[in-house]
Amino acid sequence: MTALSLALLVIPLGGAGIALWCRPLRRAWAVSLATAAVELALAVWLAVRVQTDGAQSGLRGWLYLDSLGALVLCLTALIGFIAILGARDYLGREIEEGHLHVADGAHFFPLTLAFLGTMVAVPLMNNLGLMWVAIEATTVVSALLVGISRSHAGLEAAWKYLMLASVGIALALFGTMMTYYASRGVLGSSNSALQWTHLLAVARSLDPQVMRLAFVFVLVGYGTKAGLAPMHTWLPDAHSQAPSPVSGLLSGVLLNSSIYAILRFRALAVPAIGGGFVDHLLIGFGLMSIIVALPFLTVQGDLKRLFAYSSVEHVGVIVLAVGIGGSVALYAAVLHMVAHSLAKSGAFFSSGAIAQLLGTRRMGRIRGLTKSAPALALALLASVLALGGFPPFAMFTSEFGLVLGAFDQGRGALGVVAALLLALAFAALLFHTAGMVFGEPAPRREEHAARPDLLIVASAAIPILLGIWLGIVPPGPIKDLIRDAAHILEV
Amino acid sequence: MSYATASSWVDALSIAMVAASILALWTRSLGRLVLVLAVQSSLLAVAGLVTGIATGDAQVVVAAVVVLAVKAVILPGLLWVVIERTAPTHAVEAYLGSRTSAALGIAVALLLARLLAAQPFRTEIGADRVLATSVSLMVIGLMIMISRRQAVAQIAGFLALENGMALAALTATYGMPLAIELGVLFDLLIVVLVAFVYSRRIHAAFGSLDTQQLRKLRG
Repeated sequence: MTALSLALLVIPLGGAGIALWCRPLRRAWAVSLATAAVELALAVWLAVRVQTDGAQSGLRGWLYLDSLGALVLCLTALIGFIAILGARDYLGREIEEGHLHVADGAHFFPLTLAFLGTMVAVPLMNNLGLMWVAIEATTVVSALLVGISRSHAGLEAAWKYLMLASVGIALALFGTMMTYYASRGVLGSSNSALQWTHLLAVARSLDPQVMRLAFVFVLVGYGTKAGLAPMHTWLPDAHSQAPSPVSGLLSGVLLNSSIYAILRFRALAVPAIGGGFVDHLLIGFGLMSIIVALPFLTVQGDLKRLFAYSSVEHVGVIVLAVGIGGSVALYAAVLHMVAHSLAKSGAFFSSGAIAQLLGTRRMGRIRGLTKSAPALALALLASVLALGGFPPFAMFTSEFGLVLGAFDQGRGALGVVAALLLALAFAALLFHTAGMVFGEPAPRREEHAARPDLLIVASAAIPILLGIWLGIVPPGPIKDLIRDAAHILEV
Repeated sequence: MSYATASSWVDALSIAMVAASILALWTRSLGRLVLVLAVQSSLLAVAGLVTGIATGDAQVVVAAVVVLAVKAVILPGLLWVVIERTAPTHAVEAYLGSRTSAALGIAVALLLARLLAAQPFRTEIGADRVLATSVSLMVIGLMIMISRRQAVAQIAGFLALENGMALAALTATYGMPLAIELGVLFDLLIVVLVAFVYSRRIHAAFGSLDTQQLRKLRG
C-alpha cells in the first residue's frame, strides 16, 4: 500500500510542476488530464485491494485506508478527472471573453492538480494531525482558485473563504489537540497517540469530558469547512464565484473530505462519551443546515448560488443521517455522499456551461434552454431531478433510507420533518429549473457562441449518467464498497 | 527548573498573552497592533521554552524556537511591509470603538476563566490556566477579525487566534509530535502568505484594504 499511496500523493504534485511550464494552455490541460487519469487508476487499484484484502496500512502506520477512505478517495479522483476533462474549453472561453487573464489562466491547471493532490491526501492519513494539515492545505490551494479571475466578486468570495475556513480549521486543530491530550493519558506521549487506528483501539478509555470538548471543537471546525449551518456563510460565495470546474470540485469532493474528518472523530467520540451527545449534535447541525438553506433556495436569483445552497442542504442531509444512526440510516448517509458528489458536480458543470453560453447567471434571464442548448438543458434538468431524490436516481434510495432509518431508530417524527423539508427544497429547485429549461429562448446576444463544446457537455453528462447507473443497477463491487463503508460507521 | 516554578511561569505568561490580545483590541494604530502581536508570539515561545526545559523534552524546545522565528519575526515583518505599502495613515479602521472592544475582550476573558475552571485539563507540568487562556486568546482573536475592517488587521486577528492554539499545543499537550507541529506551522505560514497575496489583489482592485467594499455577495 505504501508505494501506491505515495504515488497517489506525489503524482499530482509532479503533474502540477510540469503543467506550470507547459504552454499553450491545451498542453497543460493534456498533462493534467493524463495525471488525473493515472490518479483515478491508482485510486481504483487501491480500493480493489482494500476490498479484497481488507483495510490497508502503510509507512509504519502513518497511512491507512479502509472501505470508507477508499470510497472517498475514488470519488475524489473520479470527479477530479471529470472536472479537468471539461476545463480546457471552459477556461479557453473565459480567457477569450476577457474574464480571465492569460497569465492567471496558466496557473489554473497546476493549482487544480495541487488541489486534487491535497484532497487525495485526506483519506490516506492515519494520523489525525496530518489529516488536519492536508485539509488545511486544501483551503489554501482552493482559495487561490476561487479568486483566480481577480474580479471584485471573486476577490470578496476568496477572502471570506480564506478567513472563515482558516478560523474553522483552527478550531478543528484545537479539537485535534484535545484528542491528543486525552489519548496521551492512555497511549503515552508518542506518534502513535494521534494515529487513528491506535486511538480507535483504546477509544473506550479516553477521558469522556475531554473528548466531549474535543468533539465539539472538531465538529464546529470541520463543520465550517463542510458548510454546516450556521458556519456556512462563506460557501455560497466561494462555490458560486469559483470557475465552474472548481465549483464542482468544491461542492462535489471537498465537502466530502471535511465530512470524512468529522466521521473519523465521531468513531472515537461515540465509544468515549456515549452516542447520545454526539448524535444530538449531528442531528441539530444537520437539521439546521437543511432549514437555513431552504429560504435561500426559494428566493434565489443566481444559478450557481442556487446549487451552492443546495450543497448546504445536502451536507445537512448526510450529517443528519449519520446522527440518526443505525444500519439503515448510515447506509443512506454513505450512499447520499456518493450520489450528491455525482449529481452536484454534474449540476455545476452544466450550469457553468449554460452561464458561459448565455453570458449571464441570472436565472430570470435564462429561458427556453431546450431550444437553445438541448444537451445542456437535459443535463441541468437531470441533475436537478437527481438532487431532488427523484427515482431512478440514487438519492431517491438514500433519502428514502434516511426516513426509514429514522423510524427504525424510533425517531419517526424527525423522519417526517426531514422528508417534508427535502420535498420543499426539491420544489424550489425544480421551480427555478423549469423556468430556465422550458419556454421561448430570449433573443441571443451576438457575441456568445451558439454551441456548447463537446467536452464540457461530456463533463456534465458523465457524472449524471453514473448517478443513474448507481440508482438503477448499482454494480456489485460499488454496492459492496458503500455497504462496507457504512458498516465502518457503526460504532 | 521544578515543575511548580515552571507551571507558575507558564500560567503567568499565558495571562500576559491574553493581556496582549486585549491591547491589540484596544489599539488604533496598525503599527502597534503588529508590535503587540510580535510580543505576544515571543511570550508564547518563552512559554514553550519553559515547558521544554522543565520536562527535558528537546522537541518542545525546537518547536518553540521555530515559533519564535516564524511568528515573532517573519510574519509580523511581512505584515509591516504590507501596511507600509498599502495603508498610508497606519490607522486601524474598526466597527467597534477602542474602549468598547477592550471592555468586551476583558469580559470574555473573565467569563471563560470562570466557565472553564472546572474542566479536567491540566498541562503536564501542572499549569491549570492554559485551557481558559488559550480559549480566551482564540475568542479575542476572532473578535479582532470580525471588528476590524482592513484586510491586514484581520490577518493579525487570525494570528492572535492561532497563538491561542499554539499555546495549548506547546504547553498542554507538550510535544504534539514535532513532525505535526512543524506541518501545522508550515501550513499557517502558507495561509498567511496567501492572505497577503489576496490583500495585495484587493488593494489593486479597490484602491484600499478596506474589506467593507467586499459586501456585494448577498442572498
